[in-house]
Amino acid sequence: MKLVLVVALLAAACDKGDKPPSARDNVIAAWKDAGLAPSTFVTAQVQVGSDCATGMVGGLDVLLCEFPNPTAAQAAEEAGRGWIGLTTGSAQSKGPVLVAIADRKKSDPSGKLINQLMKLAPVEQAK
Amino acid sequence: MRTLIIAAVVALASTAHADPKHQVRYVGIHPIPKSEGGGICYIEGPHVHVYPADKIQYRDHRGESFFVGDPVAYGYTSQDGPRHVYKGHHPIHVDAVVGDGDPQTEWCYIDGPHYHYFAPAAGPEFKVEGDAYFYVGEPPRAYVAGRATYMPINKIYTPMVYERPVIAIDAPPGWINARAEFVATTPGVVVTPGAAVVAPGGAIITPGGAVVTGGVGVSVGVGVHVGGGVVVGAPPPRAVIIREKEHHDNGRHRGWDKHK
Repeated sequence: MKLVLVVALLAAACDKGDKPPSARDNVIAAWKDAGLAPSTFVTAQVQVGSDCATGMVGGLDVLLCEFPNPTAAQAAEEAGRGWIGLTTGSAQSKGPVLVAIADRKKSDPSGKLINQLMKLAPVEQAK
Repeated sequence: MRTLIIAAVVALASTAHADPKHQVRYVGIHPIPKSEGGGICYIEGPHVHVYPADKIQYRDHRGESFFVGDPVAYGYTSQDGPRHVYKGHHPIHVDAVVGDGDPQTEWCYIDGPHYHYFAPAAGPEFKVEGDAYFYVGEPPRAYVAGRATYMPINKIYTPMVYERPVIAIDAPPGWINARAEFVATTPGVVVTPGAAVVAPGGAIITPGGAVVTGGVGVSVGVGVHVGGGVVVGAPPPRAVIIREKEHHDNGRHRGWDKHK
C-alpha cells in the first residue's frame, strides 16, 4: 500500500513539472509579457487545422492553430484568411503556429494592435 | 408568364446589389481610403482588407498589393516609424522591404522630394546627399516602359498639401532626373534647342540636361519663370539646387511650395 502511494505521488509530480509549454502557449505568453491581456483560449473546431484555439486580445478575434512543423503552418495561411472572412485581418505562420487575427468589431482601425501581435509572436519556439 | 418575368427581374436586381466586397491582400503599410476611415494601416506583414488597392500607388507582389507612394501624404508621421527622403524616380526592391525571398524590383515615379517608410538597399545605385537618396544607377527598360502607366501618380501627389521633405543641396552627378535620356517626353512638350523646356506638370529641362521635375511654380536660371513657389537657381552642369518658399504662387498651386 505504501509503495502504491509513493508511486502515485511520484507520477503526479512528474506530470506537473515536465510538460513543456506548447508553441501556442509560447505565443500567448509573449503577448502577456508585452503587457497585453489575452482572454482564455478555448479549443475551436475550425477547418484551418485540427489543433486550434480561439480567444480575444484587445477586441480582436484571434485563432491559434498548432501544426507539426512550420511548413504545415505556412500552408494553412490561406485557410486562415478564410477564417478571417470579410473584414480586416492577418494570417501568418510563426514557426509551427498559425496566428490568424480578425478585426470583426473594427476595434483596431489602424491595424497597430494586429501589427504588434504579429511582431510579438515568436517565430522560433522555445525548446 | 408575367410572374416568371418579374421573378427573373427581381433575381437579376438582387444579383446586381449583392455584396461586392471580397478580400484584397496587402503587404506593408499603406493608406486607408477615406471611405474606410482614412489614415494609415500599420500592418507590416501580409494582411487582408475588403477594399481595393488602386493600380497607380500599388504594385502586385505575389498577389499582395504593395504601396509605393508617399505615406506622409496620408498622415504617416515620424512617430509612426522611419521616414526616408528620396528625390525623383528610383527603384524599390520590394522583397527587401517586405522581407521575403521573392525578388521584385518596382519603380517609384514620384517627381521631386518625397518620403517612403523604407530605405533603399545598400549599394552604389543610390547616393545620399543632404540626408536624401538620389538614384544614380542605370535604369533598365522596365523603368522606361513603366512611365506611361505609373507617372500619373504625380497627378495624385502634386495637388496634395502635406509636409514634404526639403532638399536644399545639389543633386549628385548621374541623378536619374538630371539625365536627358530619361526625361519623359509626353505629347505636348516643346523642345527648343539651347533653351529650357517646360514639360507638362512643370518639369524643367535645361539646355545642360539638368531637370527639375515635380510640380508647379518653377524658375530656371535667369529670365525663365513659370508660376512661383519653388526656385531653381541657375544649375551648374548636372546639378540642381532647390530652395523653397522664395516665390508666391498667388494661390494657384498647392504642391511642393507648402511645406518645410
